[in-house]
Amino acid sequence: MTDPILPLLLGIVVALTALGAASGFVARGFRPAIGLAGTALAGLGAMLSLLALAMRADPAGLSLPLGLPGMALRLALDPLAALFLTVAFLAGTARIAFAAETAAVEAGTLALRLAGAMLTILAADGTALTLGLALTVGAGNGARSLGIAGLGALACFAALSLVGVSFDAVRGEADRSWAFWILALAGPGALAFGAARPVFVYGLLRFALDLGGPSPPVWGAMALLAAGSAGAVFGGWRAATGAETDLCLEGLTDRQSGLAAIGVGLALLGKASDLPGLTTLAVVAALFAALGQGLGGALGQIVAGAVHTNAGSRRLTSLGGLIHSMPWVATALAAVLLAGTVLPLGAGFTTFWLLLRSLAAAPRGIWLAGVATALALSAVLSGVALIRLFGVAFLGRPRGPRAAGAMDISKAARPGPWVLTGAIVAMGLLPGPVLMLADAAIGQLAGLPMGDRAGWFDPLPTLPLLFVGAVIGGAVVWAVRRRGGPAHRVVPPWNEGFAPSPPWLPFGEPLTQSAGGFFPALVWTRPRWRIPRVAGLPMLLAAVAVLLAALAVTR
Amino acid sequence: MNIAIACAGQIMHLALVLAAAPVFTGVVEALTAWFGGRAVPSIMQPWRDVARLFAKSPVRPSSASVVSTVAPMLSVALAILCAALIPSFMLGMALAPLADPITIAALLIAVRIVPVLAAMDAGTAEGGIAAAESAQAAVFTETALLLALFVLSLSGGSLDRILVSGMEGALSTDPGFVLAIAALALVAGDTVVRPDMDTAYSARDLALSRIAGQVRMLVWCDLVGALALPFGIAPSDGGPLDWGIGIAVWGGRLGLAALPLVALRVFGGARPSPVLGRLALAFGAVSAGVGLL
Repeated sequence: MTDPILPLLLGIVVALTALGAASGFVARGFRPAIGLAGTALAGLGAMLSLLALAMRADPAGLSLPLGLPGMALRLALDPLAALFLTVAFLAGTARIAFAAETAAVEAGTLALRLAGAMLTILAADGTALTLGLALTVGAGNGARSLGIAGLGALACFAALSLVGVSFDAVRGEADRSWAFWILALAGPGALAFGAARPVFVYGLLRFALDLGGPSPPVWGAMALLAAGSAGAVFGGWRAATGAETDLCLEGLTDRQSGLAAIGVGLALLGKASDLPGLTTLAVVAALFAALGQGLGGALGQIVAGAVHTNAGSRRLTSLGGLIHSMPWVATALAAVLLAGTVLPLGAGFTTFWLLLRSLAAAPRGIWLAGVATALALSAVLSGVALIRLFGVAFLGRPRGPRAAGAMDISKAARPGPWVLTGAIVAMGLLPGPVLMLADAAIGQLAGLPMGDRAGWFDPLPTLPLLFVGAVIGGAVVWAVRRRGGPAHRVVPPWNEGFAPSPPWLPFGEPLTQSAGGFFPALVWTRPRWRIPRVAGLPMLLAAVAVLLAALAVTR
Repeated sequence: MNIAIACAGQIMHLALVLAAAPVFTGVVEALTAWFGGRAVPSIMQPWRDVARLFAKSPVRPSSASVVSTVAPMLSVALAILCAALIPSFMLGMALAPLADPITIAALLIAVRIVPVLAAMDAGTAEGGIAAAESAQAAVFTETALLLALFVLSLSGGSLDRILVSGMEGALSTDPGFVLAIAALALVAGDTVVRPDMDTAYSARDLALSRIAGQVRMLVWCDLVGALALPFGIAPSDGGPLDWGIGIAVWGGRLGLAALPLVALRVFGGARPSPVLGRLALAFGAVSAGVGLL
């Protein structure tokens, strides 16, 4: 049944690529049409991927008469690919729809990046993987530092060594650890420096767990655990100390990458130690981290774009009080924080809980204490990031005229963020059904599906806890209402006896509100090297040219 | 029958905790005043304060948002939810299967986050400074909390199982568990001694914030007390005599827990020393190392 879905998905990839390429040449008046077409294509892709995932059909393959001589492009749709395609298409639909309405980002660029991600996920050989990664990295003109672009290129070159190699051939080899190390060497570096994004996490899962063989070396697991721990802590630290909203949100996404790497490392440890229960639990944790990162990261970018466009600044020291003027964006940010932190009943908490349970099930070793400490520290840093980001940017009083005059996103731009918000909330509240949906992918990676254990209340009793919490909360509200008392009187904010601000400071004395110094960076932070923002297509062409030149040299 | 006993025990536990919370706070404040050489207030003073505040007319800054409306009630609800999960005098309560240590840690973190956000809501200087201080201290204490409860969870699954292990002597003989309980005690000291962030509240919002603080203090003392002195707790199949003994022992444990709190307040001043958090993190990290050996 997945056989007809795969060609359709390939058609969507081609159409999105054409749409993205065309967006650089068409007149400005056609941009809304491109956004609409991109949204429709991505939405269709999300439905097809979900169908493939829900049916749990056997993997389907497709060989294309394209590519270099003797190296036909091979694509495949298996449960792991279907799961990541669903998430990527869902996130892509929401982002393209939002971009089409607000013009915060070029919808064509997003379509191109989505096509690259699709090709990477559907790739069944090194050539298709290289092309997909090149398309993703090349179209990523949102990359804001040389490090990210460089590490993306590194991953491309790592994949280049696999050109012409079929994944099925890798699976057929007795010793396939070399395939694992190709991306595993690029992956941890990218994670440690916060460059990883969902596509790289997918690559890590595919190479380390699917293609890496049944008995990986223990030191490989330890290397991934170390890199993941560093990535989680640095990501949390960046989120807690970033000076701008998008940097804080990027830090939360990078923290999820680190958590996913820890999950993969623990799964490898389970395989190496022949502990199938640990492997399954850790794979579930890694998948939850990846799903939370995919959905939360996309929603975070929407929120950051909306704040920048509508409130005129990314800097926390220029924002404040946005909850009054941008309540829809504030709600979306709350969902992002639910996915990226350890608040109870959130998707982030489920990931954290699963990782700690996996750690408890792992063979004992004092070095695991470092992983546990990193997990706990990054969880707390994400909580600090929550307080700082939400408290400084959305609560309090506006710190400038643009923040005071901010407008919420339009009604037409709301469906995308709301779909992602709903998906994130559902992930946190109903981990059981999510696991049932992802069961085939879990089985593919771990060799042992969750089966009956992926019920409504497993692995965490979130719904009973929600019910008890709702009963207690309802009782508190009832008691307060019943007790009654006088209504609230609204008064000017009191400044603990200090005089009100003078007329030339209409937004108050800036020093009376915490902002930049709320959680200062305690270590020296290096200056950010920015690459000039250029159109996606030249970057893509340059990346492909470099790859082909390198290929010609190596062959 | 067992379900009925579990439900009855749960309701009785919640009623006892809610009734004892202001009295326990009153005892701690009275002892602090007595040791500090000040006039000793009645132990019912917290009750009277809350009742008085409920009758007053509340004011709210114009810059406040829905967060200020929801936060006081949410703080109370979260504190009561924590209290419902942590056993006081009996094991096997109705909500015992939900009392996972990591979940309790996340709830305790949420209990800390909600007032911090509310303090920043009005955009006043004092609230912002208090929130920043609390967030910076949380990096040490909450990390230690997560580590300590993770290490303790290695001895079983739910909090009930951990306490059963403790009653069998497993907690006091394992150095990892001992260090974890010490880390928890230090976190409790830092959290309970830290002043409430309620400068933006008035009247019933302030009363709710006080109630949340009182329940939170009792929850911490309950948690650390039960783990440090895990005896006298009625088993899940116990009868009325076991319950009575359990309640008496619980009262004694709370009395013992009050003494270090009073010492911290008398000798440590109005704000907790930063050393507490750092020491807690060190204990938590070492306990993880020893526990995972």
